[in-house]
Amino acid sequence: MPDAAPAGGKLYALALFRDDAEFVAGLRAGQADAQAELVRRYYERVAAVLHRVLGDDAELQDLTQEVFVKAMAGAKSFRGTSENLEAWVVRIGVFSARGLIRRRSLWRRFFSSAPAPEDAGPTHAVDHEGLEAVRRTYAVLDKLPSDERIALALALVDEMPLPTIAEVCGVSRSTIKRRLQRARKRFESLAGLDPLLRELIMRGEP
Amino acid sequence: MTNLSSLGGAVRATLDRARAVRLAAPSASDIRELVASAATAKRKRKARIVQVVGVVSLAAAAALGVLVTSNRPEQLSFVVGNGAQTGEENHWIRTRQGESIPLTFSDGTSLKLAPQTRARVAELTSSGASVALETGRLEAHVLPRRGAAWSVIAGPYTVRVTGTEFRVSWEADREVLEVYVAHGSVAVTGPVLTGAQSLGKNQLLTVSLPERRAAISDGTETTPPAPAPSAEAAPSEASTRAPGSSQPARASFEQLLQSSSAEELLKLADGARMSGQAARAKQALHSVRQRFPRSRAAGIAAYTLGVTAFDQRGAYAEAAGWFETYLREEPAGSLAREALGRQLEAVDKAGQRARATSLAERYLKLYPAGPHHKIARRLVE
Repeated sequence: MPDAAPAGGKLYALALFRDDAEFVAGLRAGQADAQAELVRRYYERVAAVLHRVLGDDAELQDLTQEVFVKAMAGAKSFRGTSENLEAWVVRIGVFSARGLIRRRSLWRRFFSSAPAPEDAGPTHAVDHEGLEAVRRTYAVLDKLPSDERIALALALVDEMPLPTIAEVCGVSRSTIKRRLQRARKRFESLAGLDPLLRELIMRGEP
Repeated sequence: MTNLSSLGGAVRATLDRARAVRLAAPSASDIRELVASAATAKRKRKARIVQVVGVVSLAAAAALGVLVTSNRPEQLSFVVGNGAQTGEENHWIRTRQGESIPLTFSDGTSLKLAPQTRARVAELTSSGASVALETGRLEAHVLPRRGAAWSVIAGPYTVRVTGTEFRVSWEADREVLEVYVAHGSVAVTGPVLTGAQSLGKNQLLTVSLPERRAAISDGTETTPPAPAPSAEAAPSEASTRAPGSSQPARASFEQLLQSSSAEELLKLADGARMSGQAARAKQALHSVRQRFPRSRAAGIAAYTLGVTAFDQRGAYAEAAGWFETYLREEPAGSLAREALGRQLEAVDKAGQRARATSLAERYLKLYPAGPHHKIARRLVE
């Protein structure tokens, strides 16, 4: 998406809000300034969460935009304050990622030869071992039920604290704790079959 | 029990490096596009709700034994070119040099894309369509009929029409809009214009976003506007008043700097920044600080100068200075958290690690869960 910003670099509208309450009110009212500010504040965070949940996925950028389109359209129903705004947007991202994962899994069930999600392509920094570890990690995560996969990716890759994971996944803390336990167990047994992942996991052992 | 955190850390590091290269933060035009798509999504959802309500009403009427005939008109369709290639929503159509492509809609409306134009039909409804003109020129002949709703979106401008012949051109590079109405009337909304600007027969509206100028001329059609006319070459005031405004639209930029209020100057700077006129944005912001010292606007100007230096020029040391100025002048201002976060980021990027760490400690103490807390924590650790 990013086009050539005039004069290079990032360009943002400076939203002139007296305080965060005014920003949130503007967002609810559908003001363009407030919507631009929402993108400015949380785009990178949402992109990071989606990237960490989905891996190097060609649809990442489109999905990130879709999250903001949904957030802008649904802002009227946002009842929290600016303090909850990040969790709210991330939650929309998590639910969008879950939808994508489920659609793909359903598609694969009916069309077993359907291609795997398109890889986003090589990056300038060619760290072969790192890229291979990423590819294999997400291949294993892909075998987990979508809810477990998301929770584990958030805990493991994003290092999101447990209460926040519960909040963005829309479940209680005890549910997320149980879900993570199951996910870890499943992931470990599947990753144990892969020599590279096994080695990386063993490296981290005390 | 194995330890998964090292694997998680390795994956995160690789992904973050990849993202930093490929997934740049959105530019101003990206943000405008996102805001526009949100509006379209909202309209579509409303249309779906109307449809659902319609279905429910129909079922209720049937239950009461009332025969209801649905006469909901069908969505329009269109063909591209002189052949019979059916057009699709959101498919870009690009014309080459010397080539014009007609779009013919099922209600009889026709559009003609001039050479070197890029456009798409963004939305089709039963009563019209919304056409996005990315760059170039299109001529429209909209069939007048009750309830017709057609619009052309050119950059940040929207031209709404019910039945008319008109021409819209949008020069994306120069951010210049031109709308000429041959018959009927249209309403144009967007930056620089005050409210919806109506145009009648034989009227030509020219808006230059970078110059913040708007002009309407009457009479016969003329050639597209010359590159951003200078203040000296401005025509008579009567023909160049900003639509809907009592102020002359072509007042020179310097005059604006002297006559505008602090709030207007900030808006002027914002508009200049959004359209890539960094130097003018800077002039407007300095003008706020000179003309309205010790005001809240002066603080905001300092903050914005910091943002401009940081984002547009990568002048991190200068940016840090402006953020510090803001914090000194407005220690409890509404942008204090952002300013401190941006300051520590700028100082870090300027290579002053010790100073950045001390700012990070201060940030975490004041805003432990603030938007810059991760950067701050990384610096402290």
